[in-house]
Amino acid sequence: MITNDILKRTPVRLAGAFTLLFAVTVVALVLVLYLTLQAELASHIQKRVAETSDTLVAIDAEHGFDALAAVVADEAKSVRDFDSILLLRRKDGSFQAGNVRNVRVFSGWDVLDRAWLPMVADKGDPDDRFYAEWYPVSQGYLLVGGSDREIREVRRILLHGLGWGLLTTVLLAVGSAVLLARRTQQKIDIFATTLAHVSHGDIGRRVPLTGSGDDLDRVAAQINTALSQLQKLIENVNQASSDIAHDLKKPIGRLRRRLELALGSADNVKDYRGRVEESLAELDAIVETFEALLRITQIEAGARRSRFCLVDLGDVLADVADVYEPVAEESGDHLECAVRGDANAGILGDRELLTQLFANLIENAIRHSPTGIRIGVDLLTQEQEHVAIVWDTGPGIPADERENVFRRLYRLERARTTPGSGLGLSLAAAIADLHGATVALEDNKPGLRVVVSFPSA
Amino acid sequence: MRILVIEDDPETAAYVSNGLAEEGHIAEILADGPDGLSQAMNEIYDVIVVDRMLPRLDGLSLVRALRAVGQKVPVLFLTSLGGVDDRVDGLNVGGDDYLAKPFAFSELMARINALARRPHLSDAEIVLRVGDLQMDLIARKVTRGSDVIDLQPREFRLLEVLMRNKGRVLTRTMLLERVWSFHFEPKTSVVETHISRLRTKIDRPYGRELIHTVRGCGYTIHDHQ
Repeated sequence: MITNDILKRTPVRLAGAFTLLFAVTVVALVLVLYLTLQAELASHIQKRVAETSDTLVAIDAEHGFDALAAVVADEAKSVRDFDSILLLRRKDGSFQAGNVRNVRVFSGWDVLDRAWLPMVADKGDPDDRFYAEWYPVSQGYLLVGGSDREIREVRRILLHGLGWGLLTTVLLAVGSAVLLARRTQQKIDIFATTLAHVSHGDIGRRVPLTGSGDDLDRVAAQINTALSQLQKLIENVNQASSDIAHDLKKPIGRLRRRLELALGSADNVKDYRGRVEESLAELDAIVETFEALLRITQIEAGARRSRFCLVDLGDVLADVADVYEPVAEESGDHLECAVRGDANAGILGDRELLTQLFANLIENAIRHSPTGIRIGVDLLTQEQEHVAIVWDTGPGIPADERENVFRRLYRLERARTTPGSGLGLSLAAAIADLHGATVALEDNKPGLRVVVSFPSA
Repeated sequence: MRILVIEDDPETAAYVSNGLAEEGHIAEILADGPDGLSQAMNEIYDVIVVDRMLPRLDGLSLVRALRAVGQKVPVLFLTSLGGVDDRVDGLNVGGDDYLAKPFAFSELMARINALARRPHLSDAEIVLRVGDLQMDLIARKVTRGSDVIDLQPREFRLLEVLMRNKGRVLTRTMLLERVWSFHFEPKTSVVETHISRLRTKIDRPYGRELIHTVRGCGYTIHDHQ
């Protein structure tokens, strides 16, 4: 595995990047050093040349041209290893003395290449370059030049050092990259294998933690959390879809029987009409269930939150209670509302959905209780949260069922005979959740007390 | 009425156009967005029914374009099942009403009727009358004959919605939306209860009913026998 796409591995890439960075730093450092030294050495060579020429010009001035010529000829012969050049020529251009010939006269400093200089003797280093200058003397011109050997030596040493340095850097970087990559790779391979197992259906599989607490361990922990969440979701979806299938089988079966009856036994328009109307009602109920399911899904998706604005909870509660007061009375119950419209309980929310939430809770109380109960709507406003309460004196929900009733399509045993989808509380919970509110079911002694706590705006 | 239906599902389109034809209206069907838009811009219709999902140009963009060129024709959106946010989007771009599929034709017809004649009943109206029933919108006072009838604010609102749509059927859903801002189907008889309360106040003592139940559809107010 390690050789596979090795250049794409993170540690390898990191090591590569660091190697490059380090190499560039070293090269830059050496370059600066070299340039400084070169300038220093060049001026040193020029100073030496200037000293020699000063002496020779002085000889010319004091003892005359011939004496100078003699000294130059002498010097030219004795210059060791040709590390400097000398040339004395007359005004007419003819050669007088020196170890080089035929150099054109120029003014100021110049750098002369050994390869192009006609030397008197074939000695010296062919790579030499000479820092040289012409000086006028009494009967001609004097050329003095010093070789750049020191500079080249410095350069050679620096290049040598640089080469070894770079080689060591690269070797160390590559070595550590391979080591790191191998260690990381082993861990990543474990991740990959685990995830492959998960994607092949073994959803319970988790990445083992080494306990070292390093980044990979943290990532592993996060992967495990995500997998657990995923597993929960999948289980929910499976549960929901089997619930849906189960729950819709019954009304669809009823629908089928009705249509069969219409086809088989109705022999006049009135009977047909009756059967078809019943079938339509059944279909409407099925559509309603779907609608409610989709609505819950959409609310859970949370897109509606973008439409939230400041809503007064007291206002919503008073409104809903006002609508349902006659409805409760009609079914023989009594609805009392202790909330006033100006309760000053501002929350961020969607008024339409909040209305539906409380309408749902009140309707649940009306529909799932025998007649003659009391239903109440209350609101407690506090600093941090506003608590809306819908209570009733009906049969309540047994403590061990309180978790279940929020599940989609779940219906209490005694509610199975009343029409309904079993989605009311799931929808209420979804709406509350969208608003960051919590729903708690409590015992009203007797009856049910639904407590919805909203964070205040 | 002349009604343009822009709907790409042939079955829904046929269902709507047959129904409209039976009611004596002229329905033109177009199946894609750009065609529908150019037709809506160039011809005069009483109502346009637009599906939200259309090939090549969706319903929202179509209506936005229509409103951008100053076309004020009433528009009713049809949307797929369960579009919680669709209604708000639809009304925001300039739609006038909204109906989720699948729908009963009577519901669609009631909404088209309500839309088509809407401009004639402006909000500027001060007194609404049905027979000897009068509603003064400024004084918030309702009288029948010479009797002043005391109504709760919600009863007043319900009666106002009915009277503004005099002679037209309002379905349960339309009443729920317009009177109580309920955009969901309640499981209890909210509409029936409130209508019944209203009847005991404005109809029952007078022997002659103004609020009529339209079976399987909704309610209407009128004073024809």
